Amino acid sequence: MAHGESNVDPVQLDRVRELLFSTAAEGLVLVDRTGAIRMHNPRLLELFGYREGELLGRSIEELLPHHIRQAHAAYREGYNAMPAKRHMGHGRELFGLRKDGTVFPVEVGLNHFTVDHELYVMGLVTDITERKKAEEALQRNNAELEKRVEERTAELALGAKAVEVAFQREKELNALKSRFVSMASHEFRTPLSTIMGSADLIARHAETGDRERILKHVQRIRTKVRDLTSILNDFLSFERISEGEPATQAEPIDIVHFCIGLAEELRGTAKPGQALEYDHGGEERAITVDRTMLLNAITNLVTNAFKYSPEGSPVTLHTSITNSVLDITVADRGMGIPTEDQPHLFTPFFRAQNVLTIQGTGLGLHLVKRYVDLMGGQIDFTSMPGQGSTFHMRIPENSQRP
Amino acid sequence: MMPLIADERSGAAPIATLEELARILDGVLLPEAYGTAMQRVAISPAVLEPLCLWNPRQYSRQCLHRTHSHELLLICYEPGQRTSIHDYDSQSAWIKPVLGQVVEERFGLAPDGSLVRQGMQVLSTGKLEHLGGEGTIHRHSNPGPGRAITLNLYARPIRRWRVYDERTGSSSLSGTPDAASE
Repeated sequence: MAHGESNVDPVQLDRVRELLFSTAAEGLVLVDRTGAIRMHNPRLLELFGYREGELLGRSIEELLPHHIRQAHAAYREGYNAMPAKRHMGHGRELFGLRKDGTVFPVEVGLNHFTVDHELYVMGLVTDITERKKAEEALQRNNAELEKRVEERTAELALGAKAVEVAFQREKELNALKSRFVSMASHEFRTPLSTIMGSADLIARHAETGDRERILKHVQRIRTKVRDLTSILNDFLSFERISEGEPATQAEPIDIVHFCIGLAEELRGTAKPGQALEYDHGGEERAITVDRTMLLNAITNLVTNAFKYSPEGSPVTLHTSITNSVLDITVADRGMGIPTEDQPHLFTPFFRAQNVLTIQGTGLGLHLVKRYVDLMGGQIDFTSMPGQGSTFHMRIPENSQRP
Repeated sequence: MMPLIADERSGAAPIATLEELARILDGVLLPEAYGTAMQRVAISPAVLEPLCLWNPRQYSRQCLHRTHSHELLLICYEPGQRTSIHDYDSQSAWIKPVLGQVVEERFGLAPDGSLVRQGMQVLSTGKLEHLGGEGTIHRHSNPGPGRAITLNLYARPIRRWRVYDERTGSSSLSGTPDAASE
């Protein structure tokens, strides 16, 4: 009695075997040693699109795609030599070829038996089209999910980086502000005590009606208030520029009248006998630039030149416009910048060793550099300690016309 | 505001608009004709006021018209505002108050280089003042109480601007290096 068959009536058993063969959900095919199909069930015909009688006697390779038929014949010879119960094509994808030429994925289980010394190989063919579709969909979903995870991870990484940069920037700003508070408390003390002293003296001279001395102290108070305002303006500009990139507001200017107006305005910042000698080279005098940034940059350089030059020492301002580029040179014959300090000159709060006793924030040149950068220009300088400094700015015309 | 009356000595019709003034200035061949044209100017302050820029810190200057041979500026003074002590080197200039009045102070240089005030006059509305050649060191100021507007004509356009230090008489110079030779 065969394995799995109980005491069933032999006639019925044959009928059951027949039904098992004919109603199986998988295709069953029996081939001989030469690969000729000797038997199959109806499901196999259904899978491969053949009609009853069309497959018997034909080669099993006809049920395979053309490009693997030759290899399959070799595999079949190998199997015949060492037949075993196993899955076909381990690790490889298998495909069947329908009569209409379409290809579909299959899974094949192999077994064998011998009748009258003749080897027969039985194949159990399962159409795995739906399973493949499900697997592919799953793979697509997985891939999509992985992609989304990667994207989200990248976004989070970017976000984390942005937070880190912002945090670092905030830390730097706070450090700079702390430096400013420290610097400002020091720099404010001297002018404030001068103002207080002058106010006391004005009160005393008022009793005697000494107008000349009163006016002298009024002038001194004005000068010190201007110094304090300058410190505050530097800091406000620094904070505004540090916290974002202010957009440039281009407008056409006549550089000669612009500089004459500036010279008129800055005349009060000169020491006695200091002259501002301005000249403009060439005929072209119209250019479109950011008026406020240009004003701040030149003002800073000229007031620095006055501040770090002795009484009676001239300061020169030269402008020219060539090929829509504005060249500005500010030169003085003052104390100059120590060579070792020159590389740090545009660093915020940096002050050269030879000016530590002169009031200043260390922000002016940093702001000038930032303004020039924002206008798309360049700044450089030459300086000889004890002989003076020359700053040169090149500012291109802003193409964004107002 | 009262419209200005052109100087009757010019014997020609008053110039009432900036466009007309610019057209006449552009046709000038001899420098003296600039003065004649400026005498005829009778432009109402109401016409100029929309063009004015008022700066609480400092008088303002704007160019209204310029060619290679002349330039017309609009100067606006708040009460109490004044120019530096300056001159135009070899430039010729005509100053005409069209609103309010300005005080003109003239200076000379002492042998030691210090400034010496030589005179002072009030330029009232409509009065034309000419400045030219070397030695016309001056300062304009608005004594108030109201605003002042002047029309300044320079022939040629300003190429040099010399500012004197009131305390010492030292000067600063504005303009093109080659302007002295013109």
